[in-house]
Amino acid sequence: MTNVNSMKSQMIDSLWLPTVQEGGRVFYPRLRKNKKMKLLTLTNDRNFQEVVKFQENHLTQKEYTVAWARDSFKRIRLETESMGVVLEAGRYEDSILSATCPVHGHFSFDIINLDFSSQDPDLEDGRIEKEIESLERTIYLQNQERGNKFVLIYTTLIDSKNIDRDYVVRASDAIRINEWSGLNLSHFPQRISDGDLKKNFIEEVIKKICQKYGYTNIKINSSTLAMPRGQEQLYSIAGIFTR
Amino acid sequence: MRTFNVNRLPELTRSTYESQQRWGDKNWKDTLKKHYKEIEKLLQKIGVFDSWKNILGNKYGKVAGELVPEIFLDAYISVHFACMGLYKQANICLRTQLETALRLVFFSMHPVEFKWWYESNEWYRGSLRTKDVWGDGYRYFEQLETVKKFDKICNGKLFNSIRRIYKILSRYVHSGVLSFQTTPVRVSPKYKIDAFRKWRDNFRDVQDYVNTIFSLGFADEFQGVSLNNQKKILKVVRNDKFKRGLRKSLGLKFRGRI
Repeated sequence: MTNVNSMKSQMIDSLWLPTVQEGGRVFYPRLRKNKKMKLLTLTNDRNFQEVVKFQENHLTQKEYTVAWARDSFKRIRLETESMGVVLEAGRYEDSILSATCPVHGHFSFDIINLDFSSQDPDLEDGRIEKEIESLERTIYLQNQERGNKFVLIYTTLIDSKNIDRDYVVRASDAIRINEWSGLNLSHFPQRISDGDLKKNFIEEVIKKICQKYGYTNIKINSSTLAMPRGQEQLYSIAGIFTR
Repeated sequence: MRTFNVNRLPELTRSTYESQQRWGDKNWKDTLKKHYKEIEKLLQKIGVFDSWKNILGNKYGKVAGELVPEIFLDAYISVHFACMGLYKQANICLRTQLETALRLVFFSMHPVEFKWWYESNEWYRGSLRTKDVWGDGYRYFEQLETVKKFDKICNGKLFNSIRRIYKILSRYVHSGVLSFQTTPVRVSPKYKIDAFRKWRDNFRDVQDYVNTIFSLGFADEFQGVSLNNQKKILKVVRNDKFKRGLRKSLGLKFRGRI
């Protein structure tokens, strides 16, 4: 298990906050005092700075926040922070795929912060593939609940494990959408091992998944931070999507 | 009062608030100074209820969704009370945890009774004349094939042990003199090593029983989870005889000690 808490503030300042601020200006140009953007965030019980920062910058308020915690202990801690809703049902990437997942009833959102690095990830094979699968499920629900505009932030740990391209394609193509011919990623190798290629792959998959549901990408940026004493990198990508 | 201001509280409320804050803080610290490692281990044990919630959630949606968090919280609050020096209340929480766990096993096969119970219908007190939903004593559970098999392997009766711990915990509910919170020389709660140890032993036993009951009562679901998850749950069970009984009766195939 890797501790990324210390690096989170850097990521918030350099990438998350500027993207959400811009999203706020695009989505709600007339709301000057507080944008009151509805936030879904995968967060940590001891480090939920993003909620505080977005609030301090008048982008959201605690009552408009749906926080996802990894386990019951973290949920109880987060509940002391008076956030709108705190949910916990195991790993987000497993839970969101089930029809009984408690987050389903809360869609749609203005800010979707899928920070998997905050959820004490086990660095096992297929981790990023499952995260991407759950990201599509999130966009699917956003689309179903007529969420026409949102800021999407995806954060993960890039480690030495390969990404299985075909798993990602199969999982995405299992959800059929009219006039969508399938996820074409044939220009990537079947097993992606190079770090930079992994990031390109993730960025392209996110753009294509959003496209699949009719969303256009206005802006997309990413940031990478090297983990101390390790080969892993903290990788985050943030984009503004509308239709 | 829009903003909390202790100076604006009425006299008795202020005195009570200040006393609670002070002894709560002191007892937590006194307890953790000596037992922080033990407390961490006890908390790790109850983390396993998140796994149970996931294992049972799909099949027993509402029943598991309502009862598993309650079982978790009973144990969590038991730790909290114990760290505050409230040993009587800490033990009472353990009895309710055990009862709710038994109800979950019963209701998983009795959705109609769950609905009645959920609506506060106490049908079982009338015609059945029993004090709980599952009927007289623990006969219902003793009829489960997995429990019979477990008892045979362990050469003893699981529910005799459960009767014993239930009786111990009930003394706290019914305020037997030895389980009083107060003493002739002190009214407010205080860290006491003997009372802490008694509670800690009860806590461990109850977690053993609850996880054993779940593993037997939800044998199909338990057998269906990954080896890692099975090991994680069995690790909570401290009693080696129970552990062996579970491995043999459920045919769990993994090597080595847990």
